[in-house]
Amino acid sequence: MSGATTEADKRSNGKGTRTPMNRADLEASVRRGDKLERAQLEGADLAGAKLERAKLRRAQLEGANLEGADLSRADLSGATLREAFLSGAKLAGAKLGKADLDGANLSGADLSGADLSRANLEGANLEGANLSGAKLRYAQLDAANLGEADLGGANLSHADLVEAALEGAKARGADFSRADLRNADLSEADLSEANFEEASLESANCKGARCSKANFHDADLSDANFGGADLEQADLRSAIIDGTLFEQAKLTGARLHGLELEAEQIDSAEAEWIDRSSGGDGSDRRSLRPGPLARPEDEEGTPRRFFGAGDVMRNAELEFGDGAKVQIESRFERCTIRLGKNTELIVGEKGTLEDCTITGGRLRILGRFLERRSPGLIGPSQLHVSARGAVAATVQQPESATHFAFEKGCRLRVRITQPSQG
Amino acid sequence: MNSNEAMDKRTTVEEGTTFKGTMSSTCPVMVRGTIDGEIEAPSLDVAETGTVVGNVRVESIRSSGVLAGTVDADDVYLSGSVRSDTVIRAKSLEVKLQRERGKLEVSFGDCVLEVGDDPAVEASDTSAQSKSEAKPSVSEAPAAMQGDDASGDPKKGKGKRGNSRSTSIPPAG
Repeated sequence: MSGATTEADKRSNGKGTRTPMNRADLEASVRRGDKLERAQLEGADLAGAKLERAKLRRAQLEGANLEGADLSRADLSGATLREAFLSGAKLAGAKLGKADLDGANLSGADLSGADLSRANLEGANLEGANLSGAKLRYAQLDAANLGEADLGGANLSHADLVEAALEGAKARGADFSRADLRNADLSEADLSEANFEEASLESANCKGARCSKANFHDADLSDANFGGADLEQADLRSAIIDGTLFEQAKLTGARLHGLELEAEQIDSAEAEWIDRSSGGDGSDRRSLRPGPLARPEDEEGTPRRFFGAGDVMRNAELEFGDGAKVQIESRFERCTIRLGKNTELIVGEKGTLEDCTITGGRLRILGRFLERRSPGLIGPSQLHVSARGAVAATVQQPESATHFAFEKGCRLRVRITQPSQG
Repeated sequence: MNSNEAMDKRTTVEEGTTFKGTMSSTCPVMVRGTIDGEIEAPSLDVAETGTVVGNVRVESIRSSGVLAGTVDADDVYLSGSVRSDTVIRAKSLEVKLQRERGKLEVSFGDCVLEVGDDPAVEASDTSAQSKSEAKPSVSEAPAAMQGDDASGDPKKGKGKRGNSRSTSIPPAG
């Protein structure tokens, strides 16, 4: 073991000379309750050491081997533990506020009730660690591995968890309010009753997560994927859900006031009822019908047209007025469709349009559009092709250009032209 | 150089720099300036300030700048703009919905997108199975379905991932 220099050394000789201290000396010193503040223990081999309640504030333990060491209730506030090996260490109730644990290995460590507020855990390995009841406010956990970790009741408010791996984590009742979870992996995690108020979960993977009674009020869930997740009685009021997917999610009793759910977002989602009341008190129960046009609440006065599966339309000319919503689940052949300026046409997953021409409107293709006469799509203000959608067509853009959106997985043979090329 | 080392490093064409010619790299390439020519690399990232004109062969490309020419890639993520006379061939393409209302996430000039398996092939297959009526064959399909003949692009030419994806696709859903 390398020698250690302590505050006591500095006081005694004023120069901070190093006092050689082996493991036995250190353990004895800890038993006596000596202050080991700023002790220099870089790279020390302290595996299995008995350091319970050690006073190691701001100690230098970079690269130290503390595997299986007992540091329960130790004071390591502000200590440097970069790249330290703490696998299986006992750190229950330890004080690690502002500690630097960048890249440390804490897999399987017991950090229950520990204070890690404002600690730097960037890229740390906390796989399977017990962090139940731990304080991690403002902690830096970006790219950290928290897979299968126990975060039950932990406080992670304002924490930086960008790209953190939390798959299978047990975070029931944890506080993630205002935390940054962009691109984090929360798949299969238990997030029941967790608090994500005003948190950012942009592009987070929440597939199969258990989120019943979780609070996502005012959270940013843009492009997050809750496929197959359990969101029963979850509070999503005023959340940002641009591009959020709830495919096959369970939404019974979910509080959805203020949300505009698009059809494909709730594809195959299940809900006996959803709560649209502003207070989230269950006073305004509505049904959530599965399917591409399923919306919790239809806009009043919006004319709708629906062509069901199994129907075949040939050589028809159809015109839909401004503001209408049209859904096609049937087969259309050689039809000409004219859409008003704000008319939305959805080709559902079962819908196929072959050799048809569509003029104007906002188009969403979940099924197939296959043209022979060019151009098949004339002047659409928007063309959105879903992951399962397929388009083989020439798209003639309007003067103001078309807003395009293509989801990963779509199939395209598309030629885009500008209006002058008519 | 092993693959890990290659991925740790990155070739960068900085803003204010113009590169003309052929670039072949085993490292990811980041373009903040301008490249005019041919690029072959594992991945290409075109920043908002970046412009790439020419033939691109990469596994993945992420562009928020300007693209023009022929792009052959497995995965393409686009924002920014795609100039006229551009052909993009890819296994997957992603263009997000515009974040700001009224603002285009990506603007397209005259261009051709060939992404994933050919829907027209599937249409022919399913039609043949389900109906006795004549359906448009691939040869009858519009110009946009006909591979590089569709582009009208003088720079046309099949890349290594070219049009080899024109196989039957499973039914949607």
